[in-house]
Amino acid sequence: MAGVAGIGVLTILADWGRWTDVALLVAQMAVLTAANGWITAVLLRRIRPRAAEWMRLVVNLAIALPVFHILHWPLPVWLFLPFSALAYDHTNRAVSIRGVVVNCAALTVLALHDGVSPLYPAVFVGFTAIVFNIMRARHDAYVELATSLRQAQKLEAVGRLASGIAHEINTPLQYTRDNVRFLEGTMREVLGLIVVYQDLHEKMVDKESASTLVAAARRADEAADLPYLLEHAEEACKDSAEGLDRIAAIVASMRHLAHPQQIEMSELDLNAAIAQVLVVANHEYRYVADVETALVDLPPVLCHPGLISQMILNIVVNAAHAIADARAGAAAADRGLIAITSVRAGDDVVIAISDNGPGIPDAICTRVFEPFFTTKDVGRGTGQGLAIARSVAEQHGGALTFVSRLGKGTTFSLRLPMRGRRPVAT
Amino acid sequence: VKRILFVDDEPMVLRALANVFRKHKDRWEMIFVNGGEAALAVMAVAPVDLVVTDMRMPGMDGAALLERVAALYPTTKRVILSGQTSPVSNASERRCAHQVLEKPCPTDLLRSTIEGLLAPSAATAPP
Repeated sequence: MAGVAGIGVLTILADWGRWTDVALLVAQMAVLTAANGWITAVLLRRIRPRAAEWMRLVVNLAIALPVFHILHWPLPVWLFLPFSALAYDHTNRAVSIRGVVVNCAALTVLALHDGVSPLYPAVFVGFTAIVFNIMRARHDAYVELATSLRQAQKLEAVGRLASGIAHEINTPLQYTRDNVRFLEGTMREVLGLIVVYQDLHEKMVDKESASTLVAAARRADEAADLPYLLEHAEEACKDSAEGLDRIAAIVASMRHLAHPQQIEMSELDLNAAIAQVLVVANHEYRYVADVETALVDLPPVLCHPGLISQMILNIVVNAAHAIADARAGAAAADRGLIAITSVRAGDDVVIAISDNGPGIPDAICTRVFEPFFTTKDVGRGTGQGLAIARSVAEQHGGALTFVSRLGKGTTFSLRLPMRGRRPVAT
Repeated sequence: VKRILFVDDEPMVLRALANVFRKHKDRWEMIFVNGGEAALAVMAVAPVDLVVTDMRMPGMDGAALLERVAALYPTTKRVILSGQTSPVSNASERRCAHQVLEKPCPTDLLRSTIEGLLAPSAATAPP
């Protein structure tokens, strides 16, 4: 914004007295700024970033070139142009070299055609190249940082879930172990009872010894508390088996999520991955929201299973946190809803994860995918989750987008090509 | 006979506790409920000597329950039996409970904790 204002002032000074020209340039700058703002704020969320970038370039050229042509290329426009070509804040992706070349070429050709001194386009192209290189270097540094952060973020995600998963496992452990102790304690008594009964059975013929054995049997029977065991022993076994199943399911899901990252893509059953994510994230939403899934049959999707599962996990956990924050202090019956759907769209699959939380305020909609941007408290998130989720989606040749309505909720849509794409080196 | 109230939203935890403590039936009158509201309802009818509660439950959670119990029935002993392990929650837990135990808690430890708190020497109320 300061850059736009600075160039605006420069324009007015340079064209002092030619008020029609000044008005035209200022109007053009206002329109361009608004158009750029709209594309980065609104469109970038809906379509793939690369498409948004090209659209921005086309819009800029379409608005700028006719005005420059009419004004005969005054000096300040040459200052304005690099700004328009490069100012798009690419903290998390490289400026497209093709876009810059197209921009420079279009301007140079038209300027030379209009009879402008070749010096101006030459200086402009040189300046653009310098700025471009600076931004590329900045991007490379970012990529290096992002790579090390990705590992840290993975650890963070695992750490954040660890306490909850401990809870998930601790509870079945509690009752499984209690039940096994209970059964262990009864075993000796029950076996003792059986031995006495056996003895009794064998001695039935001899009436006298039988009568003393009957008394012994009654004592053993009382010690074993047989009616209680008949009522509860089977249930205790069933509960324990169920507890072990729960523990096994959680451990299996964790193993999938923490799977070492393979270099090669492999086929993933996305619906099964969603089910596993729900097991692992269970403690995050169980007390605040219900989960509804509407999943269609999907063919296996070629992707990096660990990365995709972690991404879905991140979004589900975010949804649960959004609902939990909105409902803090609300009645228990007032539960939120997380809806997960999968659909096929041509050669792509689209996974949509909706929550009916508070929604994302417009003011921060543009920053959601920004690295380090977070609204969560320290220790609950570092703002890496969605930034990395989007870059993972793009690496797969897919996209991660969202729509949010304040007070209604947010839907994140992950679009992935089913046949996969080799990740671009980042 | 001491009245002991166990509170947990997982019925399986309650059933297992009933199983494992069944031999104490003549000394302990054990009541099992699945939430904070139900626990307070039981105590409103007849006070209990000791409450063992889970922490994280839908509706009224363990901390909220124990705060109410401490205010309404100051002589009732309060024990937390929780699967949560985060240090932050432990700090607030310790303030409202006489004893905090972590799931999975060995049967003997839970039994000795209950017995210790119910022993006359452990009385906190002045004579």
